[in-house]
Amino acid sequence: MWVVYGLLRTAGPLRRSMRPPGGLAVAFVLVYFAVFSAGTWYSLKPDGQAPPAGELGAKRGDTGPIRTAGITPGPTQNPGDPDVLPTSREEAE
Amino acid sequence: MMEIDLTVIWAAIIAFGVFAYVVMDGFDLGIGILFPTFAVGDERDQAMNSIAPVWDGNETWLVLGGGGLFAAFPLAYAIILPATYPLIIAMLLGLVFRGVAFEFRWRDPKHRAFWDMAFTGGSFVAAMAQGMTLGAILQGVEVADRAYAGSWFDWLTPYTLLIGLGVVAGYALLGSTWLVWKTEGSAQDHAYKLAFRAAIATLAMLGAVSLYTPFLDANYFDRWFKMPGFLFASQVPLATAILAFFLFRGLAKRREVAPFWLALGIFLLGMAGLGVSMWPYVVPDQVTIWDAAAPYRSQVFMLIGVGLTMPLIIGYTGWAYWVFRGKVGTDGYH
Repeated sequence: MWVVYGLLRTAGPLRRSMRPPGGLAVAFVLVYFAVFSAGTWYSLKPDGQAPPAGELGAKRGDTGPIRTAGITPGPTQNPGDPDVLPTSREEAE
Repeated sequence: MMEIDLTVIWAAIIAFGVFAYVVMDGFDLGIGILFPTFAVGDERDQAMNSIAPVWDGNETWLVLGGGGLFAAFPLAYAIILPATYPLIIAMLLGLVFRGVAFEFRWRDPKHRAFWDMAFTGGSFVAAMAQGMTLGAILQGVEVADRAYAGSWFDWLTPYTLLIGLGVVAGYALLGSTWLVWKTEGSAQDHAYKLAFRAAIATLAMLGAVSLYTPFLDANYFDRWFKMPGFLFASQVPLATAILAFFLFRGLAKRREVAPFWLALGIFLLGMAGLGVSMWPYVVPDQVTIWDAAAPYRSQVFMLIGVGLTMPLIIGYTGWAYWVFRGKVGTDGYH
């Protein structure tokens, strides 16, 4: 195993005093797992909750598609009602 | 044409990077250290929001200092890091905890107390570790065969603990004067009180370290007290006393902006004092900057890189501070 190809083997630069820090680096693994777990939990928690009362989805008459509805906003903005989808911009307004 | 010594230029770049890091991350670490003394709610929100837009930019300078040392003075990097790994690792983990606290403390009211503690604990550990690292370098590093030859706990002595606490006090001074500038109402009143106490603590620690260091090693003593160097070196504590006078006067008169800049000036003088003690060594009495320097071609190559990136960093840093100028209020971007 080369560190610098053709010049330096892995055994070369490794010294005795380097070993304990190698062990300490495990602390980074542990801390990163803990912190990313917490972050993931904070991100996912709101997904499990019902929308606040009084908060309605977008409806017909809203001007323009809501951006979070993606490139085919119809089904999201008028769920279960394909017939009333606006066919033109004027009709939507 | 006079020959330009790139090694000196690189030493200046790294000294500038370290100074920029110390004063900028210094005041936001200081706010972390003082955080528990502020009331939950408006006061703490103001304190945190005053640094939320700039703290991560401040830590860029740590990367420049560390990366620059590795690139420009590889021998110094190879000696100093093995001597202080536990401190460096403690500092980085402290920075991780305080960094995420900025985002996580707002997510769940039940967890706020925990992340506030992580913010303070992380800030304190980082500040302490930085001071102790400086102490470990100043007290002398055992070198044999171009490598660290000391033992695993050389960095833990009364002297390094003293400097660690000194840095904690100094950061608290920077943090409290920053809050005097950026906050209003009860948070500002509290910051004035803290700034006054932190100034006393900082000057006391600065005095203690300044008296301790020359007696640590005869070389330090000669640098400070032997003529004609004494004439130059004695200006540092004199100027510090003058700035300290104006700092206390500014706080007493409830000036808002001046105390922060005066605290910054005291740090600059501390850095100058460090220069008197260390120049031209990078590992005191063992390795000079010329011993540790990278080959000439590497220095040139990296100087071009720094020449491009440093103006960029200074530019966006300045812009960020400009955008978020003025009093902070309680509504952050969170």
